[in-house]
Amino acid sequence: MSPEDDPQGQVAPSEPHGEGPVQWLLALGLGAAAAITITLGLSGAPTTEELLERARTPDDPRTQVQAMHALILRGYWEERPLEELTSHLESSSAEVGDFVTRMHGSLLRPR
Amino acid sequence: MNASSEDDAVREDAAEGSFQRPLWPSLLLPLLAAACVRIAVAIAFSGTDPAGDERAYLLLGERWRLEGTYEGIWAPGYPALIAVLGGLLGDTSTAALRGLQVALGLWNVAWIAALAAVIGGRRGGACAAWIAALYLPLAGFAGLLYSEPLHLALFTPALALLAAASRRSSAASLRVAAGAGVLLGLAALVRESSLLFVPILGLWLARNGAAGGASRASLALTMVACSLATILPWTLRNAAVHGQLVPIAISTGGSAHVGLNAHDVNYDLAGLGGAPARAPGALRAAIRGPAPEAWSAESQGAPAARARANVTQGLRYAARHPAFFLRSRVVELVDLLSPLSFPVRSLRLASPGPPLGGAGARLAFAACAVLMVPALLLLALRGWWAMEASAAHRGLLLSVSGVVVLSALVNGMSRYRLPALPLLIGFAALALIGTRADDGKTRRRAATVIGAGLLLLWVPSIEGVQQTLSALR
Repeated sequence: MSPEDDPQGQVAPSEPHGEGPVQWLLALGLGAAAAITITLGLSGAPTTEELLERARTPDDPRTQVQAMHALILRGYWEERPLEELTSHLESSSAEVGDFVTRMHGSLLRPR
Repeated sequence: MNASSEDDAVREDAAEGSFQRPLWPSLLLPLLAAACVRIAVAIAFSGTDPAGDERAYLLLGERWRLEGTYEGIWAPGYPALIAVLGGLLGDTSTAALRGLQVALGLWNVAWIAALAAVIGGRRGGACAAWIAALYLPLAGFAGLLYSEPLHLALFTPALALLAAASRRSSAASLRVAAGAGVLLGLAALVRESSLLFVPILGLWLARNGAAGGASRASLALTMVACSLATILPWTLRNAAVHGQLVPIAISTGGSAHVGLNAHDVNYDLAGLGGAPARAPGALRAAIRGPAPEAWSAESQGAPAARARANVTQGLRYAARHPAFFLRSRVVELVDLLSPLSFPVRSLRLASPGPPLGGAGARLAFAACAVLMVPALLLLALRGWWAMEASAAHRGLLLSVSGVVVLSALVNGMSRYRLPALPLLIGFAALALIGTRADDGKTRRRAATVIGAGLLLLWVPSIEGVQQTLSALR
């Protein structure tokens, strides 16, 4: 859109001298900080073994459900035989069995 | 300062003077009207069973509260709200949620007025408040349990802050940009596709922010950084749960499977008969032409990986069938701009009680809602083209509308155009009360093209509108 098109068109005031490099450095710094945080988050994520351990935490059904959910989201049980999943559920709390049956029933079908 | 810029300054001073008079006394009556309409709609739908996405939202919120883990493929904001309400209020939380939808609707009317006041002064704000109060395709969401009112409650204030940040007479501060960034981040946590607005509005701010202290680039950078910082905790949660990078959610895979495929799904026409993957309408079917063989969604592996695979498959499908892809995108645009809306759809699919219990009341509501869509779009186009407004604010409308169109090209439906509504209402108000500007040639040409495109794109919707209104009789 040209200025003639717009009677109230704004003319860009010039940027203060010397701010350009600072902004680029700031942008790079922020981008690097975000990338590092996400990398740390990914590398610090619980491993499958840790999640399996948590999924058997006695007396803490919520932790069990959360760990089971993470395992499902990672596709862990789809790579395992159905028998392994059913035996895991038998050793877990009723809440975990209920959770899998209700929200992820397709995992329990023969495959 | 040349003559033109002196005129600008005088106009800005005048606008500033009128803006400094408080807007809120002008909002009392429209807010009262908005409350009446929204409460009436909420009462009508209060006895209906939540259906489709509404039921899914309630289930996700309930399970999150009970199990402490979020199961959904969508952004977490709205289910989180439901979980919090459930924790606070227990069995009465659904009724409270319906009340909250009404309150969010009023909040949105007030912020749409504030946004319009920045664009067109106090009279523009008051006029926009009336439009927002009575615009049934928006007001109707007060009766439905969808995430749109919550999304708009965060997105509209962000737009108002950004619009204010572009006013030359205001010393746009880093705090304003930071506030807008946080709100945009929160909005993206309610609707995943809203994340697209962050870079586009960042670019807009870099071009249009008022250099009253901080430089424009600093403002844009602050806005984008604050948006990403708001999202980051959820991204880290996703890293821990999914074991891979998922910025917000994984709903794009499902959208790609439906939208970048042979399926012709129009959610506004859902339930009108026929196969679910083939929407009714002879003209839309003619535009799409014969569809190539559909592809099947990935059924194995981690959900995040499956979602990515679906997007890849959808893009490959589009590349393999470019002619069908282009034809079917026209239909997605038709669906995006359809005069239908989800409140009208819900009138048909649910069985609302009084005051929308009778066939006459339902039909009158639906007919008004249908007519309001083209009326608002054409008024907004006139406001954008023929009335005095800053280039920055025009650019803001183009940026937001562009992102809406872009996101709907995967899978279009009337719900997806809601983020553009606050600015469309602001410009429609400008058309009703604003000062006529000299028509810029470029703008006039663009308006002619856009107007003609709108008229053409409404033609294939006529059959769906007829079928919808017939079903309401």
